[in-house]
Amino acid sequence: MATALLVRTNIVDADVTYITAPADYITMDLTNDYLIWSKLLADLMTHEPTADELNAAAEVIDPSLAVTVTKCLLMDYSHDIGGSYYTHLVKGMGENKKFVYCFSFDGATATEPQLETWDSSAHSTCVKNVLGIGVPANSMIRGVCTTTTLPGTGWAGASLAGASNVLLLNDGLGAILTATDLYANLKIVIPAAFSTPAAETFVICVRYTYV
Amino acid sequence: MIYQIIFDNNEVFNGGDSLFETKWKEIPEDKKIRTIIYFIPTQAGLILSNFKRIYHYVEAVKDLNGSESGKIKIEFTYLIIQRNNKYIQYRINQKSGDIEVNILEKDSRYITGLNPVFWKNGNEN
Repeated sequence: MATALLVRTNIVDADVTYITAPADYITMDLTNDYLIWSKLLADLMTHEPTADELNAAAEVIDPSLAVTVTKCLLMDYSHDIGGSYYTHLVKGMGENKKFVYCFSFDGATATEPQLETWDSSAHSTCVKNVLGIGVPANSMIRGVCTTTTLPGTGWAGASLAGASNVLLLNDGLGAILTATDLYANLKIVIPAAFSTPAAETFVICVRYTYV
Repeated sequence: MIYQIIFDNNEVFNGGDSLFETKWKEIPEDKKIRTIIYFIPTQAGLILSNFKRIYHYVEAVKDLNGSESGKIKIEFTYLIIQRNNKYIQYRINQKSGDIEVNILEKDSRYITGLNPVFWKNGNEN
């Protein structure tokens, strides 16, 4: 059988693994759930946020300092965790925390799984502002593998965009040999005085292999 | 069938019918593979022989969001053979059937990062 992948986000305590505290995590329904990066959007909303609400809560570009987007929320379409809530704050996003985004594989892989970001599900371009306008090194999406170690205070992370700038999810150690949870932390850093304000969607994907 | 294997003793092993169930793990460890016939989307067969070891895997991509979110998409499959100290990779596009051939270094991260348990034995030393 093919190895399967589940993606989970920590909404309680980013110091504990999924194995230790599964209730701290929400397993994403990848067909309907999605992640929102925002400055002001509320945790525990009782409806799916509207475009107007998202715009009103957006991060503000600073003229002189790079800005890390304040928070990431999981939009939980089924709204059946802890009450009837559509938004859940992802704990530890961008902080010196290990157990934030969890990638659970139910078996071995042939090569090391990796996380990628693209303009769309075609996985062919990365020309959006947030992805560096075609220059992967300028991508605002920063990622760090936290499977084995903390990312460190003020971690910089790797700029993620396209096929060349990817995040290896097993710390560069290669394939996983058995069912395993891998972890990463992600953030979005907007350069100072960035000239093109935009509300953009981009696609995060995990590329993995099996025999 | 994805592939068919002919062992040194002329026995045959048929691969799975789906890229989600390849049966690669079920290939007997104690037999040496003389030939693999690998069927690609264009229905032509890639035939490989004379190797020390062979590896096959499927590359899946899962989007966390976007128009195809949650689907498992298979874009490429791979065959790697070791012939003497050379590693030859066949990257097979499952949509077009195109095959890209790459020579990989023994000590490259690509080869050393492979899960070693899935190599199968050929009949060359």
